[in-house]
Amino acid sequence: MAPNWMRVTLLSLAALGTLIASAGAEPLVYVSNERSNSVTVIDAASDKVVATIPVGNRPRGIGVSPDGKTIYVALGHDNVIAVVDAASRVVKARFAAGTDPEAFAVSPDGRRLYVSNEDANTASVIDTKTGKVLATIPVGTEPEGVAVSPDGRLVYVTAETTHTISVIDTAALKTVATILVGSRPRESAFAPDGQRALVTAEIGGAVSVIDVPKNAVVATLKLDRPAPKPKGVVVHPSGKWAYVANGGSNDVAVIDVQELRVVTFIAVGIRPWGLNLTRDGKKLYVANGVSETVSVIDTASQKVLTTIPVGKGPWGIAVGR
Amino acid sequence: MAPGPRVTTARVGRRAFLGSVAAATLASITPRAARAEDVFTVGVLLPADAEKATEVSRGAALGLDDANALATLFGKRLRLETEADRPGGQAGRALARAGALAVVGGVGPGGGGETLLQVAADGTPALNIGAPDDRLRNESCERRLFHVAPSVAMYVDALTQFLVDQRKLARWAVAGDGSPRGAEIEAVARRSLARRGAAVIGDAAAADIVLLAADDRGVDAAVARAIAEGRPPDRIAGIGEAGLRLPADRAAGLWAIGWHYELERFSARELNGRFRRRWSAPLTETSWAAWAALKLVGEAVVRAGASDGAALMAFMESAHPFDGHKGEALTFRKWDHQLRQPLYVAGPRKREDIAGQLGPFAVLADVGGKNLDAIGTAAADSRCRFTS
Repeated sequence: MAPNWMRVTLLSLAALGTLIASAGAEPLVYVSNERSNSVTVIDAASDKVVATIPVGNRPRGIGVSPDGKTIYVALGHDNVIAVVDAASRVVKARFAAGTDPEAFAVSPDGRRLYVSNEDANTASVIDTKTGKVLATIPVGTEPEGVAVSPDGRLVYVTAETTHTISVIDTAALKTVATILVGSRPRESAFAPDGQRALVTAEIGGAVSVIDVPKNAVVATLKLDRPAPKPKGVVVHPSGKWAYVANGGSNDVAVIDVQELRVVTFIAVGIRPWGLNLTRDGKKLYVANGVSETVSVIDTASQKVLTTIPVGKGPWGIAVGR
Repeated sequence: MAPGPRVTTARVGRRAFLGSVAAATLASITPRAARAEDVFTVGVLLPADAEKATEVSRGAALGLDDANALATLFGKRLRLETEADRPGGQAGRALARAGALAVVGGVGPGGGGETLLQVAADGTPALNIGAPDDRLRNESCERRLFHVAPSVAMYVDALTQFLVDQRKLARWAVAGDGSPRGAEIEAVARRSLARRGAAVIGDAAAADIVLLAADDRGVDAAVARAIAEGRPPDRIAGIGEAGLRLPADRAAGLWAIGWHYELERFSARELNGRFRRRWSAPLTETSWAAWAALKLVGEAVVRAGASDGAALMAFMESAHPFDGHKGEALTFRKWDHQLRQPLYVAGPRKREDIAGQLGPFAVLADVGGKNLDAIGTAAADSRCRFTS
């Protein structure tokens, strides 16, 4: 066995190395853990857990400001959006957000949060500087997933009971169109050019592809799985691929966005729910709610690189800078 | 379960019902008032039983709200026309004359199912929200009749799946009440048990569980008899939510049901919450079925542009995945028009746990989620032959 002085020195060096690695190894990946009331921080360079942040009760929806300095987490049982300082990993503010907030999106300029209010059938617009609600906009029944277009001009809010997308004009702060999609739409995601958007339909077992300028569904892609129950969706920075978390069939569907077809399914953990890509699109992180893990997928090879244990009930994933 | 406020007669119930519906509908269409709308009438048959009529009315009203929340976005609107259900078929014909696109009913003894059969035979699509009779899904089936309510076979299969497959209770006794419903339950149970390697045994005292093969009106007495015979409360089983209406001090039995007001998963919590906020009452199985029927018609009108009976039926038969807040895609079976759906088994809660909105019965299990055709009559066993 090594002498004590040597062990202490080695441990200190290891700790220093970890600090250096975590300080310089961006991006960081943030995972909300619904049942352990925390956010797990994963270093995407090493795919190791580098921190766990206690945030409050029932964290689900999670997002990061464009500059990567702030993490937002919807706390369903606290009825707030927690504002976490990414550097200190401390909750620095809590924005009131109606009852049981679940899903939201951060505007591309970082100035606003768009939050769905499930019980009230509205979407709230929150000023990220002040935490004040700027507007409350009626949407469909049981609103859920929120997505902002890359140019920040449109917000899509899914509504689970009316099976609709409410299209909100962010300048006028009102709903300007409603699009009928599959049964129980959960989430949507815009392609990088903002011309198309994809919407998951949990009960419909399909993905609706929307022509954004026309406010029209141009394709409905059935997910050829028994009860796939698609939930999370994200589009690759190239615009070529989209990834859908199938909570019922425990896999991720890979969609060719240009050819409008499902090209493969990648097996992950049990009940994949939220998912997100690194900004370069090389890695896909998938929260497996029942397995209590995150699957890391190499998007080039479409293989799972590793599986990382996280907290209880991992729900959403956000990627920092 | 706390019963909702009673209505004194079907006529009074209808007026109160229409008033609340009109208010809700006006509220929902106000933003679109300037736009011309296509209006579709849905007929609702209210049973003579006042409490059941209230449950139907409330479920249908919430279903109308939800249907119109969608329909009015696309220039369409549904409205309700109600009739007190009565033997003879006049109620159904009155609704047909009123231009009903579909008729919803089937609740309560002594009418429901028969009226719907007549409605369907006369050419109007009908949605059964209360009659569990297997006969309606077999030898008496009608192509225009669609069953939102579970069948006796589904309820019994849910019980045997839970008690035999999961709890390993293979020796059953049957306590019948001599009613036609009781005989139906017993016959179905014998077949269901045999499929699972279980059986009704001769020595009732040695049975693991006693099945109450009773009409809804006989459930209370049947439970009392079983308890008096010394059966533990969790070794008594039955079907339908009649058993859940037992008061807390006499709560007993494991009951196969189609809905429960304490369900939370799959957005059941949101649906239960919306109903409770609207009516200050729990969403019962009957109310759920009425809600689902209205929402189904609304989706047919919007998604398929259904404006007549043929188009409505085509939508129902298309296996479009309906979201009933049960976590699965609900579709009508081709062979008997029964809505595939998960069922639940509820059992008595500990006295000390009954508080606030937690009633005497808790949901113990979901049944059927993985294979919705495993409960109820399989295609190969169906005696239904649609003739038109």
